[in-house]
Amino acid sequence: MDDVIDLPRLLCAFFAGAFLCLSGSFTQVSLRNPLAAPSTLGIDGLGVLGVLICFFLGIPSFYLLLFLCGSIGLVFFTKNKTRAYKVYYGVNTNRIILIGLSFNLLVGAIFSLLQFLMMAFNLDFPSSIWFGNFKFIHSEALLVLVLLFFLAFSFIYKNAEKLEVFSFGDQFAQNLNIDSEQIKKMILCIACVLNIAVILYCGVFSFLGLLLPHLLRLIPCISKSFKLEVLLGPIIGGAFLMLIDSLCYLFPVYGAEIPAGMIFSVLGAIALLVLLLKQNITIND
Amino acid sequence: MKIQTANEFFIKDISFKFDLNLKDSFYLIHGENGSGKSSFLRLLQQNSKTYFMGKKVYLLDQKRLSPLGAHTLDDLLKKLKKFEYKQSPLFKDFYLRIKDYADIEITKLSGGQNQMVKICLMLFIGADYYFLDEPFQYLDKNNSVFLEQIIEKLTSENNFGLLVEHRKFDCNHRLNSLFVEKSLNHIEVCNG
Repeated sequence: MDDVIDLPRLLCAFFAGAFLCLSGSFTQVSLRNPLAAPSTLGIDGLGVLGVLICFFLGIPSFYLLLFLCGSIGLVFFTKNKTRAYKVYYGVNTNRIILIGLSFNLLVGAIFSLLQFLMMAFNLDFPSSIWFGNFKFIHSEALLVLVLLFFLAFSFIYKNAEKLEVFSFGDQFAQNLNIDSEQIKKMILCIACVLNIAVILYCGVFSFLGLLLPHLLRLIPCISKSFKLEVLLGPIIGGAFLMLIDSLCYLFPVYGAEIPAGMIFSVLGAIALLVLLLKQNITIND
Repeated sequence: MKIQTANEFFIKDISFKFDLNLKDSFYLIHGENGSGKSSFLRLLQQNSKTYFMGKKVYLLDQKRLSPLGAHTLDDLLKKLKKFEYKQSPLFKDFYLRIKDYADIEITKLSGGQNQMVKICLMLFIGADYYFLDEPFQYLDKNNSVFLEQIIEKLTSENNFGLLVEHRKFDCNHRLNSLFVEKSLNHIEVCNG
């Protein structure tokens, strides 16, 4: 093992951290629930399902990402509202989280079953996807992540003030002539696409999207400004994941590198428990 | 115009006429629970995209104000100065009344305090027309009396407004009535 970590790997870790942080902030503000995150809304499950489809059908990840972007766009933006749209807008957020967690569990069970069967027949299986890491990152992944980063960042930069007011409340933003419904759809779509891109190329980092926004809000200036949270948060989140991944690389355990995603599965689950047990948590439907 | 939920229509094919030239054009909306009074207000605002008949509308809804993060009323007022606002002359009096908790995190306020903060923000942003959906909810007797005076001043400013309220509303100004009936799917506007 080299003592020097690759630059593409570092960059991918940065972008993945930035995307997960942004996805967490966007899902929490759009559903007005501090427990909302890609991991609790079933988006992780959707991404893993995508990886399995890519693997079994031999489809390149990029095409699947395009297909998923199109599908998500259709779900949220068509006038003829689909059932998935109604689920997201018609039921309370705690129920959405329960549905999301259940969906993740279902995908996890399917994943384990397929893994068992493939191993029994001595066939290849993308086992490492469940715990994200940046060991096998390639140039296509970096290119897609860079492109998505600039697209997402240009949206945030353009709409920073609107997002700030939207964070105060849907109706409140509406009163200031801001189309809350449109902003909500846009940021939910962006959160889904960014998170799925991370899963397709780097794997699952469970609960990182939940953990990072809460850690950021411990910084006083960020806790008072959603605009700063979405502008600075991705950079801090990216640097954080880059640091954790570098530590995993530099300090292997018995010669084996611990996937960063495995660390966050443990830390994130603890964070979710702490949040649930925290008495003064406000959940708004 | 129609309001639709996943399974049923609340209000369908309705027509109504408001006389905006009346001096007291505040309408008190009546109707049984679930008849669609609040939905009616939202429909009017959503269809007009903040401007109703060319005038700026402010809809005070029933939901608790819950900004993400540790914002206080003072923080919000500071941030709102970047946006288009037309502060009502009633704002300063209202702000002085709630000054004690203007620097406390909004998420930590009680239901009544939160409602007062919402009304304060409404008066800061200001509008030509006010749509108030149960503005007295959670308020104690003193604050209710104070808010009644504020609404009375709003009506005397010749503003058009719609008010959903169940309790007996003592207002010296004449309030027109508007009935929303679920079974008949219609809205009736009565003057006086």
